[in-house]
Amino acid sequence: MADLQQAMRGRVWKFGDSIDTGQLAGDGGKVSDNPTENLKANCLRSTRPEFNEQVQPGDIIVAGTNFGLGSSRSIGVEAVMACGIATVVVETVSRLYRRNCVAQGLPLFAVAGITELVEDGDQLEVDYPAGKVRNLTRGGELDLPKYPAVVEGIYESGGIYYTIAKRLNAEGIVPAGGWTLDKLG
Amino acid sequence: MGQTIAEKVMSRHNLSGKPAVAGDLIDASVDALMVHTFHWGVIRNAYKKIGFEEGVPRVWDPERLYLMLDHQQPPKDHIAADLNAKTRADAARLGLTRFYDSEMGICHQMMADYGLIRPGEFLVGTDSHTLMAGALNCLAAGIATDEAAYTAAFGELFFSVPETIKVTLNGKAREYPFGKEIVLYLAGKYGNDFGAGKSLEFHGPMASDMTIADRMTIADQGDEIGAKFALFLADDKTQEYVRARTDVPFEPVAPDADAVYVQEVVVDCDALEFQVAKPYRFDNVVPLSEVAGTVIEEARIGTCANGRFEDIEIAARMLKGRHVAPGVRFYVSPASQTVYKQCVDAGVISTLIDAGVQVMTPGCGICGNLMLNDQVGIASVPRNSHARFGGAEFGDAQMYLAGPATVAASAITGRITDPREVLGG
Repeated sequence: MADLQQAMRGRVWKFGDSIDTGQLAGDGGKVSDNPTENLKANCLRSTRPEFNEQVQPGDIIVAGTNFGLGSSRSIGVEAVMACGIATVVVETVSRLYRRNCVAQGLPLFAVAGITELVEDGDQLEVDYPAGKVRNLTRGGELDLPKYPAVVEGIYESGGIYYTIAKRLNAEGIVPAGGWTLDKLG
Repeated sequence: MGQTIAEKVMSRHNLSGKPAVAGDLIDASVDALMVHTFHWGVIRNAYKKIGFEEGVPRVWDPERLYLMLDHQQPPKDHIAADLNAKTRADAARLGLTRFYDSEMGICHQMMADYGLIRPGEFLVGTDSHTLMAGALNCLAAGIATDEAAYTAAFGELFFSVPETIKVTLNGKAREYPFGKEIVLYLAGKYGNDFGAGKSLEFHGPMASDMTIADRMTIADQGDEIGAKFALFLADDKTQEYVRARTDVPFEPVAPDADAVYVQEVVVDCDALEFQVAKPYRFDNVVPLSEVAGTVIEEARIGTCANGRFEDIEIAARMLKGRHVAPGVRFYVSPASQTVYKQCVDAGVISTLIDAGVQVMTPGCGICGNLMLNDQVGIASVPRNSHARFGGAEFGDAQMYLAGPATVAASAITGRITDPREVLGG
């Protein structure tokens, strides 16, 4: 679950413009019966074959313009999350990828100038509470946009499933066996 | 201050009751939600994760959730067949009146066929090409699948109110489909992020002169140029089209004369050449003459972008008395059963089969896969990106995108060909 109150630090995997959902969750061929392993193995495989083997939990994707264009696939976000990516920072993002990220709880930020601030392999700090993104390897920082309240609320609750559960709960619609989410606070 | 089409429709749906102004973030009601196939599976699972073992516990309006098996019809494997069976049971349990079961077709075209796309309404859906409905003056956009789980229960969601770009199309309609060329031209000139989450309004003499099919091509492919909405006015042609399909009343929306546009673009469509997008981007566009002669072994016409009667009829007109080139596989797939029947009734399918075309059942099937990485094709489909077509490794078959007249001409000669060489003139 995304914790926006903590600064995130990680190695940067840098990509170009127009990375689409086909590349993020490509039809690259099945390698495992485990869906999460499959998503990871095929994520960005056509773009950078070594990525899925070398990516580590907590790493950060930086990319250019129109990130996530193409077919609206929730698995385009799931694949990135399956790789353990903590956050995505791009020049600009397609509207549906942004929506999918909010709903699924993957923090994504559109920051103009980010591709000039960082190179592949740099350590990046994404500090939401301070509103800054900092290059820890080379120095330099940019402002990080603040989410609108409704979006921040969805992130902080852990994704839109929690938003659904809270509203249903408030209306007295409760599963027969009770809620199975971690928290409804 | 004057309002755009998007601002007017969103104002009607703004839960705060205030006028919606570009830049606002609003909570809004929707008129309808479309969910197709495996996305219903995601929504079912969302509710299972929350605790509802049986899946979705309720929908806000059983008449306004349009549920369609489309992409997986018939099911391609036992997983799809199982989900279809569960979806069927859900539709019965929830009392959905607009459930489309084992019917082959593409959700967007089926909504148009069945009068579910109406001017002035606000429609959201789980597919990126939901904005195709803008061709009929319906404010329509894709939403995230998990968000659709929320909207299914409450009929609401948050939206940003977009700025609007006014695109004026000058010129007059041609004797063959030309919408693809117009939207490819916009992509080539302004890039695949031209829309950048904004609303596109199409105005001008060409916009009103062109067929509904061409408007659907342009609105549909609005997604490939980054638009949130892609809207046409509801003229007589639109209203006649919709009234022939539904008795439900609707209220067309036009922008105010003093509406504020963030950008205005004018296209002289009469001066446009045929356009082709080279692999692997929709905006990698050149005039046809630059790639003419490229040898192809596959041609395709269909999908939500170009699967209407007019898109298929032009192929039959060009193939009458001719044959698909040796070594070329030419697939044609109507966008829906209704379109398929229209083609059959007009004799189009018979002509195509005689000419060696492989006519496929309606659906989304030709929008990806089926090719090897080193193969070259030309298609009237929405996308040609990496990992869209091709083999198990990297999915990098080289697909050129073009209008149906260019695709048909190329299928006849076996190389990318200017349709005028076949049509004459």
